[in-house]
Amino acid sequence: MNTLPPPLQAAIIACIIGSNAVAADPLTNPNLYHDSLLRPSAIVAGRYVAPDGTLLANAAIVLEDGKIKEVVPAENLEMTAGVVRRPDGVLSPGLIDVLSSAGAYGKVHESALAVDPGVSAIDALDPRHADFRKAVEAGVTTVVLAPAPINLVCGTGAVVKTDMGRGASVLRDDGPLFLALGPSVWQPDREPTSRMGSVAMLRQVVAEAGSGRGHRRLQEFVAGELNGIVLCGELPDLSAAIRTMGAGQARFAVAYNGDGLGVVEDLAGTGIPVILGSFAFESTRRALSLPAALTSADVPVALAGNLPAASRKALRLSAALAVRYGMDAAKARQAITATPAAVAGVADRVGAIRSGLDADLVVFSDDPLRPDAAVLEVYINGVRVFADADQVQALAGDPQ
Amino acid sequence: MTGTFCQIRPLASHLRPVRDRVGLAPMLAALLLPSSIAAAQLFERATVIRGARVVLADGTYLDPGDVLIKGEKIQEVGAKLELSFADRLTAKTIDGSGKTVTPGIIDAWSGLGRAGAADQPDATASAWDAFNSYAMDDFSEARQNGVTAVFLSPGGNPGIKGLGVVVQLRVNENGSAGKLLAPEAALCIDLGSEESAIARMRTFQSVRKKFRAAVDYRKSLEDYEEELKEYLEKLKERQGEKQKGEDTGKKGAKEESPPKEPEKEKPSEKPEPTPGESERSPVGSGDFVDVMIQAKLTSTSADDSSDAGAARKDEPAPPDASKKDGDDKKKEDEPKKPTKPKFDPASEMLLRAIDHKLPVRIEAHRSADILNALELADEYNLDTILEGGTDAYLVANRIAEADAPVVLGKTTRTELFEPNEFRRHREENAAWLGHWGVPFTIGTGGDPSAARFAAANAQLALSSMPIARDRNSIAWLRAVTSDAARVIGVGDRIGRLHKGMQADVVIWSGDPSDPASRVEQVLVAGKVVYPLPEN
Repeated sequence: MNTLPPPLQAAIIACIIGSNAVAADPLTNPNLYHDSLLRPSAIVAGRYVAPDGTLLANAAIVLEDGKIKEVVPAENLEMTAGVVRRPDGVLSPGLIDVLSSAGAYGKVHESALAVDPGVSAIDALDPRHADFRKAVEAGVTTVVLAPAPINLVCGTGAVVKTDMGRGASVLRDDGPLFLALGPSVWQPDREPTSRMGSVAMLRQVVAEAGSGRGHRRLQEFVAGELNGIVLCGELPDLSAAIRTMGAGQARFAVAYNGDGLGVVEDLAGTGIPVILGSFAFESTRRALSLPAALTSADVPVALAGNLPAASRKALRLSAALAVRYGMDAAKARQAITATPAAVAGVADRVGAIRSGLDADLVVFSDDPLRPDAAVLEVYINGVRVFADADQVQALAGDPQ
Repeated sequence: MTGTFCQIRPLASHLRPVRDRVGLAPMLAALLLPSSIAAAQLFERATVIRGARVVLADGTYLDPGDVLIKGEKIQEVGAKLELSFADRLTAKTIDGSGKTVTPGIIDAWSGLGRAGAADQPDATASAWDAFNSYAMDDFSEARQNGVTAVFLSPGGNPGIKGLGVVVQLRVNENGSAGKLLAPEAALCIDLGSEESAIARMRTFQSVRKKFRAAVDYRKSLEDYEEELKEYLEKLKERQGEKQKGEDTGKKGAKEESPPKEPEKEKPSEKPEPTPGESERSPVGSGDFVDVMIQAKLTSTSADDSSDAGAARKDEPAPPDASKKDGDDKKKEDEPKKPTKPKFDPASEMLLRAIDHKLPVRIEAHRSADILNALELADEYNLDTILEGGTDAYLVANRIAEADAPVVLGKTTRTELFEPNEFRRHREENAAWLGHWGVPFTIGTGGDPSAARFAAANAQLALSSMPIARDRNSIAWLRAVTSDAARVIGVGDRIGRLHKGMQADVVIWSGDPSDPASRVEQVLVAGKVVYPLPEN
């Protein structure tokens, strides 16, 4: 039957177990440096995800110095050298996982102090962590390394690109500031030990920072200079966050992974974005219906991927399930690109295919919302960091 | 009268309150036609879906195509179907323009509606007994996502777990859900990949022992038949001798009652040990060394079983023995009646699997367990289906050689290190099986809440497959419809839009691969189950 000699089998297995990305990695495969398409001057795709989340046909994206220079109709493209053509593909901005612990080496929290604004998640980052390769394979080009929701004030997250280790790609090393409310914050050996206690403490921290005392980051947060993300365990925690800080200067998003539809009432009209998910096949119907309910009430929704606790495909799957339960498809595409970029405070760098932004691009085989769409190519700062051709080759049984 | 009522019922809406129908039905029957049977045939109201994009069994589209449904079944699929006069008058037409019609989605490894599991594995248990047909929310959400049939394995601890069943998600008259489509779809075995190495060895050993015991059991039954024949012959012989003696002497053979049918006799006072159980197994108590020795014995000595058979043969006092001491008392001279082996339902079940009357479905995740499963299948020449197969890509060539289909489970798992059976989980698993030509389908792994996403799960599993790159391809759909039906043994009834198949049909607002498409209507066995009409 289908039998290959054992050494060949071993080679194939080694290839699939080891990494499919190895062959695509310029660091380990120097031949690829000579590929002119590694730094294309333009990418032409059959369709592309426009900044408003809709799919438009036949665009040429012109790249220059790792940035998107301009987006022109394909037929107007004059250059021919170094042009990547994927007429069957859909070009999307690199996906953004706004709540992840990708690349964390060890735990991402201090457990001694409840209010610990001086902690920075970037200090726990391993730039060569295998999580980044997994992210790239799934089309995720930017992740927010978030501190764990153990403390009331958890410290700042790090916004990094997933080509870490190849170049300087830290987008933000000091922000956003993470706060947390909910059962995970209540510790038996230090304050706060209850919901009441944690809300009281938060109120005090905000008041202090507002009067010019306390840690610099807290003062900046309260003044609206440093954006924040409030991780809310349960619905009352989300209400408390809005009650305590919603009226002030602070710019923050709330993250919530429950299923109470009361969220809509709390958030409608406040302009506060919400981070939901990640969703999985186990998520309840009510949780899956939330993105649709919130976007209908004009609340900006970002979806989280939770890499590596969740699957690398969880980010796209979350969007697909949200759409299955009524979310508008264009809003769903934004919810894994532009909206998380805004929430992470890096919308001026990534999250959309627009001139002037970084050339972080993914070629999908189809609409990225479709679970059966495959990642064909990934570019970060205009450099190809992943090509699916190598995977296909591996599947064809070619040991190369 | 009830006959009339039942036959004509499809004419009236099945949701109308019963008292309305009782009056209406006989009246109509009386008015329209003399014979109620003829009435039923003529007036079984057909449903026809017109002008839709119809997905055919080979994965191609018929666009535009029509689907004619009559009763529980699909009457015809084709372009611009001509209806009979009666159908033209009465058929309910669904406008399918712009819509896609697919077979109902089948979750080939489901936990939908499972309300419990046995603690101890039991070959005679059935997954149907743990099915909660009133888990309404779960069923309605499953139907809303296009799922119309599921394969349920019995839950519980590793070992031979019992019968898996196929349930069609009908809405029954009493509001409950589910009809047993295949009550004996497979004999389910779990090799317990989640357990420690020693526990896995023990599980496999116990499974194997049970198969050996079943073979021994059959042997003992056959021996019994033979001995019984001998015994009866002996009795006849003796009867003849006695008759002769009595003819010369005095008559009156009253004390000697003629031999009765042994089957009707009570079982003997001291029941024989069940073959293989206590007689020849020190393993039950679970000493590791014993397990090892036993494993060695089982794997090396094929003639072991014949030994056991011989030993068993000797056990009931052999008829020859009594022959020798002819000058003893008559009673001792009497041929001893053989004892019928105790009925063993578990072994009977395994024998059915060995006789190819029942496929065996083995849950195995680690590569070693998969190879063990293939070994068991080879040893007893079983019709094997592998379930789980997390490491299947590592031993795909061996699976291909054994020609065993694989039912994969949930595609998404955490990226964190898992020190369990999913340690080597890879989303490319399906692609590899496809590459090696292993037939496979994709279920949701027995998780009740995931069953509704059988379609999305299959889409994810096949996204790594080059064939999925073709925008017109619907490989994932085939995996969860016709392929799934074939693997779970109901390919002749569900899984395809074809004449004579059960009318399990999903009407999508657009391309079923696109999450933005809505499931607009679901029919199961020809009846609309989603959206359920309001009363």
